Amino acid sequence: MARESGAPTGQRALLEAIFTGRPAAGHDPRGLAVYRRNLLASAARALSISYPTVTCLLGRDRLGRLAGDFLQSAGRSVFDWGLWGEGFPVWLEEHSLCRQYPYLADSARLDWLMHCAQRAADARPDHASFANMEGLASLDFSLVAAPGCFVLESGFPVVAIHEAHRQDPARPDLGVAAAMLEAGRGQAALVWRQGPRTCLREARDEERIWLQLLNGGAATVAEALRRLPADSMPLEQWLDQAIREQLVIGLSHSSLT
Amino acid sequence: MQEPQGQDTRDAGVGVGLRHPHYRDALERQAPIQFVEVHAENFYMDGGPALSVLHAARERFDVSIHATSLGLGAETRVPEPEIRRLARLVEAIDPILVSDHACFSWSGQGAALLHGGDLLPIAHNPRVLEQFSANVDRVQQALGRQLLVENLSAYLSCPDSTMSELEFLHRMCQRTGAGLLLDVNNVFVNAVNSGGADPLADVQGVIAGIDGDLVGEIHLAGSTPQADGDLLIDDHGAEVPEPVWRAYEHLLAALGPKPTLIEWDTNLPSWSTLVGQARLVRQRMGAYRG
Repeated sequence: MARESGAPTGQRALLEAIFTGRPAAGHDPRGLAVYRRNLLASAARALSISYPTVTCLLGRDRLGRLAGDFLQSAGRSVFDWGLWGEGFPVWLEEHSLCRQYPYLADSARLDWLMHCAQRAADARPDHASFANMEGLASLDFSLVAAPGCFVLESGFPVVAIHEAHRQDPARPDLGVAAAMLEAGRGQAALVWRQGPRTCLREARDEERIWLQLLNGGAATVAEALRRLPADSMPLEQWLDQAIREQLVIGLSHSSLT
Repeated sequence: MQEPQGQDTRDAGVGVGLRHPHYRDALERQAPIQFVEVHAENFYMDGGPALSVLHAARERFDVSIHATSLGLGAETRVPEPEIRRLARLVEAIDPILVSDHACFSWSGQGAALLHGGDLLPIAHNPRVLEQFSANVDRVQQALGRQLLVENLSAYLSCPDSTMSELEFLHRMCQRTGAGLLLDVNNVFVNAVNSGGADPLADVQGVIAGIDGDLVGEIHLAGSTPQADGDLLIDDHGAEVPEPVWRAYEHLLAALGPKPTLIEWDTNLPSWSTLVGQARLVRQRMGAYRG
């Protein structure tokens, strides 16, 4: 249905009335209220699934109110509630709550990475490619990362905060996180999927170059070695651990196939 | 429009909606059900544990895929990527039934797209029928199979309507080769909310007008009772109420057994309670098999 004089009509007008909560001419306010309540409840449910740590930090009621505000600000331009809310961490960063809880936006970023890792395409370890590595003369191969693999650098102890809430959402032990916050210590969060299980741990400084390699920071192992900082973990040592953790699930080299 | 391949309804089985808290029970416990129905959008991810559960459920039961977001009654074409996502899931799971709703959900394109995340009412008139049928046809062509379209519980009426929902759906099925998913509770909720003196009689009147050959699936559900003066909400949050059972028995007598699903989405009960509702369907179906 075409718009006239810039004012939305028909289906668009009904949608905008539901999103804004404003009355719509010709429509029963009771019916509009049903759809608006349903929209707000769905938005709150979607964010509580995608952002479990933020939900624990704020409580369901406050998250529900935030979901309504975020919906008002960001709208919903995706068909799937599971994909809605990607912009929530950036929106949170500007929210007054972040003055009270400065780690909130980064906690949300980590939640979203975990959510995305859980939905990433399955991939099994390619054991044959590791076996072939021993016969290689050069290091011109790259590492194949696990599904959902990503490093989030944060000035806050986001891994400790997340783990405390994951272990006991109702009564999290935030002692470790609080001590780290007090000391001004941040964490780099490493997220990946090990089969069906989404994994999280703190990335160590000495493995940073190898994680960058996994995240596309260098094309090949040889290239990463040329840029290797002095305090880095030796490749063999790190790779052995990364393969056991299924963080690296294969090697990619034209001669390996 | 090309004639799509019909749904594989096999025997008229009994099913339940499969929701996250019941995954383990569904995969580990015996249940007298033939199929489970899932919301398509809950499995649109590329991989991961939820999709693995659906594949495991497929090993145990037939699966019906129920889409909730296409908004077939939108004023413009359903975006191709959304149809492809449904088609990818259908191809991966090979369900016995695929369905969506007689509604719209979204408007606009690109950055101006606004998706309401709900099943919103459409006007039932020739213009909307044209666009709706075109969308159904495109989905069926992409899936390579028939789509069932579910009647709606609506809390707003559309003044542009010139025909009943049933006539609209019949005409749409004739044009596209699609089938009907008849939600008895939706008909009941609409009858209650329209304020008629005898909602059950209104539901029976609707059933009497249905072309039974078009019906590929039945949905049964319950609604949470509301305070006087409030609209009855189709929240799928309670046992099937007595008037809906009676309407279902009337439907069985009129149309014969059809694949029937217990839908329960909010205030989820235990798996045993859910399966108990499916047993009640089976008992009633048995009485009308002759």
